[in-house]
Amino acid sequence: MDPSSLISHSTLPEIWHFPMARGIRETASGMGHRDVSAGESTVTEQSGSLWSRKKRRDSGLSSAAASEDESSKFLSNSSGGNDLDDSEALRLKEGKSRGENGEWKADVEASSTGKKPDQTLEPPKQDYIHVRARRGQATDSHSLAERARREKISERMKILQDLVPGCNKVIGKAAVLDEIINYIQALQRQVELLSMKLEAVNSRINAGMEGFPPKDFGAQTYHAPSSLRFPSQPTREYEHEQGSTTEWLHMQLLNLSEFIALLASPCFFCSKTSNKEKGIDHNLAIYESFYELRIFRSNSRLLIKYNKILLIIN
Amino acid sequence: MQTYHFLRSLAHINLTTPSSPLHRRSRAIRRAAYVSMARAASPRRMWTRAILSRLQLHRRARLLRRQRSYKKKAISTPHDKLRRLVPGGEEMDFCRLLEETVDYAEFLSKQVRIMESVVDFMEAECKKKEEKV
Repeated sequence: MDPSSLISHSTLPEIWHFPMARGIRETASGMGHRDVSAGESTVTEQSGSLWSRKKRRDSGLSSAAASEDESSKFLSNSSGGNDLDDSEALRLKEGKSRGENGEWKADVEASSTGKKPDQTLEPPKQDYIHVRARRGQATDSHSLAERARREKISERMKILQDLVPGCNKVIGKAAVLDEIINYIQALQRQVELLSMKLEAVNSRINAGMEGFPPKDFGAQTYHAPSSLRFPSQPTREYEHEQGSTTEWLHMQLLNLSEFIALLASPCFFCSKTSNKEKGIDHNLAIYESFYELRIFRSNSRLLIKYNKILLIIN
Repeated sequence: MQTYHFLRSLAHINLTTPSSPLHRRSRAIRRAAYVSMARAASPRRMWTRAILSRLQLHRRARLLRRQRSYKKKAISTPHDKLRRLVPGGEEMDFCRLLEETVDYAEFLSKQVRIMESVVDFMEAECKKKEEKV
């Protein structure tokens, strides 16, 4: 129980503490500088890590303060154990002063920690910072990259939501993804069916006359208004019936299949119902009959059904 | 640009394969549609490169594709569905995939509109011819 050793013990944290605190502040300020240059995400990120560090430091400080208190107690105890009054008084004074020192230091710590929360309490209002802070420093760069990635993904999801019709009302990432998949599938199917249709029309033209007039078309289709009416097109065609040639039937069947493909996807159905040229009931009747069509795939039945549909339309 | 490519390839198909069976021609037209999309879009995009490289390797890679299709059946999460839909999506990470999807969807819808206008035009032509006759 050497007082000197105790004193050295008690002074050690004193000496040890301030540089550490300074170092931390320096690193913090350095981080701050870096943050300004690096941008928002890094700010929150680093502040998160700072927060965690601060937490550690707080715990360290509290333990150090506790050790100091203990050491001062030791001092007083050890000094109480001594017989010499002067030395006892002196040491008590020393202990008191040290205790005062300790108190002062504690105040400083409190003030410093009081400052720190002001700096660090701002970021933790956002929820994810808590998670970040708990994770610690090891995942810094990873988590940064991860956050950037997530932000990008959410951004793109928003863009896609704007792009896909009827997707704004859907909530949830998975549902939105499903909608997008449906939309793209529908578009691809439409391309497929349109290519079939084009082929049919082309063969019809070829039967009537020979050759594809590509040069005429180029100019005219450029000027043609982009037809936005996706689904109303087939129904329009039923009205303009022309002779019951096989080609025509083929065309109509193509239209049917296209129609089914369109109706299978909810997006297009929405756009269809919004298109108020035809009544909604009418659309529903067509939809039902087409749904039946989907089930009966053999040609004869398809033709029978097809006649029924024509009756409904007319 | 897209329209131009598409019409040119249509004319080409018409010239080169006038008497091939129906389904093959429609497939050729579909391929032409995708290729015209890819040509019109920027070559930096992954999906355009995927489409064009697929076109180049078309005949060689038939067997390969068949083998791949066996593998593809195993997975069915929404991410993988999207991956399969967007050309060249198998090798991308999810972030890139979404970016490509945005671009691809835009071009697809444009292509659909173009094809519709072409079909409309051709039908109008047909009707005119028939009325004359």
